[in-house]
Amino acid sequence: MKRFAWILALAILLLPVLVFAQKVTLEFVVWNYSLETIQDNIALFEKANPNIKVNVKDYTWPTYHDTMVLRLKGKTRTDVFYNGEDWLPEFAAAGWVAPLEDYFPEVRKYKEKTASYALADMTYNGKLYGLSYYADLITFQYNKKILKDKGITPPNNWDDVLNASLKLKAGGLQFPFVYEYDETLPNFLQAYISQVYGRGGDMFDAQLKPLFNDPDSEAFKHLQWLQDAVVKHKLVAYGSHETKVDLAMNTGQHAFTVMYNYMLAAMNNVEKPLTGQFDMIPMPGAKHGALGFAKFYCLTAQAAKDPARRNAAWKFIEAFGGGDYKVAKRWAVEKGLGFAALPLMDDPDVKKAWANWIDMEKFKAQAKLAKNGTQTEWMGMWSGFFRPLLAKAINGDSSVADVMDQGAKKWNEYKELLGR
Amino acid sequence: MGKKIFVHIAALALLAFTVVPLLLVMMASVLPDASILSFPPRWFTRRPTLAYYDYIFTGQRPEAYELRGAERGMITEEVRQVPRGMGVSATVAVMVMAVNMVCGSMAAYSFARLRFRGKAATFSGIVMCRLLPAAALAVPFYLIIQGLGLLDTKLALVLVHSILTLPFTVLILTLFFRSIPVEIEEAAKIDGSGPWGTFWRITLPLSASSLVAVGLFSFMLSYSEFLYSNILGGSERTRTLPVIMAALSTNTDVAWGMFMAGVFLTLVPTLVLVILVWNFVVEGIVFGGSKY
Amino acid sequence: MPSKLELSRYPLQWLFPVLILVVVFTVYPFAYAIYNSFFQILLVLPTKPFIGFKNYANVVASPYFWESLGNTLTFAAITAPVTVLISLGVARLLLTRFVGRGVVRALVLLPWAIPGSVAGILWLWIFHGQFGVLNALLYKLGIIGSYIQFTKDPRLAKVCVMIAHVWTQIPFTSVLLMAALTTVNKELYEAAEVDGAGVFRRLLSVTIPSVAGMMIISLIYELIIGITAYDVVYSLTGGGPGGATTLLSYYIWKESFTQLNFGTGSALGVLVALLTLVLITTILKVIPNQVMVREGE
Repeated sequence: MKRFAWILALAILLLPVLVFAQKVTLEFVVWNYSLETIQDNIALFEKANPNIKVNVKDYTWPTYHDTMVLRLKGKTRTDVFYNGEDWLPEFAAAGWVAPLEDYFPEVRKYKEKTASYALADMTYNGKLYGLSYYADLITFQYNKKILKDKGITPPNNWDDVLNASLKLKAGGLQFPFVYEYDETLPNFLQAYISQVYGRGGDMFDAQLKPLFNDPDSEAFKHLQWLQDAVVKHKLVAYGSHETKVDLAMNTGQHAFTVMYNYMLAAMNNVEKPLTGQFDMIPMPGAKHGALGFAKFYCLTAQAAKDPARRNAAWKFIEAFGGGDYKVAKRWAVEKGLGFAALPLMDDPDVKKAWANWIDMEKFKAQAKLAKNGTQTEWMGMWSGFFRPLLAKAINGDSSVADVMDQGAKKWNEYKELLGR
Repeated sequence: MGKKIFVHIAALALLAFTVVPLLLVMMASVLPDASILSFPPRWFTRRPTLAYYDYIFTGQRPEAYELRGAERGMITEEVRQVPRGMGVSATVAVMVMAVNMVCGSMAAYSFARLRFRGKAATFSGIVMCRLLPAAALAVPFYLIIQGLGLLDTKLALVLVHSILTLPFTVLILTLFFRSIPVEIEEAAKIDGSGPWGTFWRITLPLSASSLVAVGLFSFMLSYSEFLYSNILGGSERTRTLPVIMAALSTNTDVAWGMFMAGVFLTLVPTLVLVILVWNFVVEGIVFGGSKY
Repeated sequence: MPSKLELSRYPLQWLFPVLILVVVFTVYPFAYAIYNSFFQILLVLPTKPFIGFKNYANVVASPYFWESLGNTLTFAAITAPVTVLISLGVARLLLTRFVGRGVVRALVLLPWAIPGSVAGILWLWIFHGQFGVLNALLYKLGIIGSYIQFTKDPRLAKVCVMIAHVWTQIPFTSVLLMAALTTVNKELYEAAEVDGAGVFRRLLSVTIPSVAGMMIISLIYELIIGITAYDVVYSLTGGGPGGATTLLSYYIWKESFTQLNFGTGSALGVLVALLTLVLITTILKVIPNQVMVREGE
């Protein structure tokens, strides 16, 4: 008995030594936005945590989801990765990610400091799966100089947008509205949903029943609006990607667009020809709602199984997505990235940096009205099915009613197959 | 005389179609975005600049980017991966080229000259193995490479690019070897050479033009392949140019001119190869020498 | 032909490097795809039940399949012959003596080295609706009063992607045909010239028959590339507008990686492989040729 006690005491003494002596390596996967900043943040983290080494792997944004599917399906070692709001349910259902809350209950303290739409996006089945890397809104952006020159007041609803566009077209702007039009990108659907939120509509009811196929719904009406703007009034030019929309807006040939809000920073960049001419207004419509979303640091299920990797991963996730929000602040100040951390909204450094390209008060007001998207296990799959239809309707190649009916039918199929 | 003029006009038209898009790239790579985006177009009112190239190679930031410290700088370190990517891509492509020229010609020779059971089946098997579309192969390819422990290595890319190119290499070379008159090889037979010696000393030198063709083919395919390079890579050591360029093309921090500078640089290794291989080897051996 | 009769043993020493690669990277993936095509493999569901031919039935019932099949066949049926014919002209031209031939020969090959995804963007710089070169040029010349949205009109978009695709493909087929042309016996040309055959006659009676085998190989290659292509198209139009330029390859990718339905994705892959096989076998049967190796040779 005495010997047993001795061994126990020794083990307790040695345990921390064993744990800390061993250097843990974390595999961290990101999409390669500003890799140099990521690497610098990692270097700072490694300095503060000498026992943890972080290897970063990066893929391009357009191929990121698919590469991650391959990587996680192939069980390639991955501990922490950038996850997106629309992928969380499907990755969780596939058993690839682990709820942070189950292993580290202390993560709950961040809930009250997180914007509601971002919190909803990082939660699946009532459990928090990550801390946010970046959160943003899809906002209505416009060229304030063009409007001022023509004596047009910024639009308040979609009729105003139409009238202003017609006026601008009559005044010589061939396509007053430029639309990010690429059915391969998830945000093609999200941007449309953000506009529907502006009108005060929604895609689904609380029981996940489609609302959009009802001709009286705001979603239906808005798709018709878009089709009319494109086909009937010929007001819309397409940009294949946000970077191309940015360039198009900077030719001064377009007045309006709907994009990720951080694109305002890119458009207003001092190197751009029309720097300083771009601004945002609340999403047009009765309610001025908008879509908010979050990308976040997520723990993999494989890392969660191993205590050493799990603990190191939590340290890393908290240092990057929580704590005093040093990393999120750096992204906000240096790159203009949006954030989910409410305390940063009033941070003087963030305010000062953002003043170069946006009116912070306007952004705060829009963020207050923002709402998350509907996230289910089949949302990503359905979105992949629905986006080409949406593109067809906007372009006038299909009727709105047809597209909405097909979309609702597929949604109900998925819901029956996968819903609980 | 009329024929001469026609030939020159045709040559000019051809140059216009193939080279003008590349000249446009070169042009855009030295213009500030403000010129490119102007409407009505005024491309040449501002002074052209080599600042993009300077940044890619030396990291010297173009002056304009230093104006406001707190503002999002429209520039990214990723552009500076281009020179390294050129090296990775060129290394992989040269190895793929070697595999194709050596292994492909051996297989093709056996199909053209030897008689054996299962020949037609083997040949069809090899040639038809490109029919399954790449998108359907991504998962099994990934699992194989992972199983071999080769994820994130150049060797993985060499293997996969070789399997993408070998079917056509074998098909093309078989056709070529068969077009060489057998009598030439028979003369070597009388001299006492076996099939191996005949192949190396007689057949290969005679097929220089087709070897160059398949060599270039495999180099170029490997050099520009994106899908597998993307999913099998994952770090700077194995990141090929197409992967870097795809990332840059959707990067909000990359000016149009900066991107075009990157595109123009991707041409450099190819230009070197084309000038070396094409103009010396081909001009000398194929077009200079008489046939058979 | 004495050498042909000597060896009847399987020439493994000549074939093994290629065979190893083919077996590892073709037999296994093929089997993998065929096997998976009979199961319902939805990544978000834990079970993978056997469902027989239901994946194939789903594919055939999908309007997307027929649309992208139509797009793909049109795309391949136009770009493959156009590429081969232009390349034949290019090859013939580059073998003719003219001032600056060496330079032209080298420069013509350059589009080959441009990755498809980059080529798409390069052509976007030409066709772009807001700052494209073509628009700027037409505008400056006074031909158009306002910019044309080339990639927004479904028909124009199709033409744009075909031009960009052919542009990337011409160098390879030109090199192939050039190499083939150099082996054509010069005496045949001289004889034809003595007979008083004009340029066109010589082309039909000498050039084309002598390189027919290589033309068929080029055509088959271009068909396969056309049927399986997508990176040029995707970087230029994103498959749009409204699916007007969506090709089968992208559809397969999307079925597997966006819809996370690997069963149906595999079934699609197998169908496309069969389709290509039928197409190529038909071509080889219909056009007399010496391309494939036969057993008794």
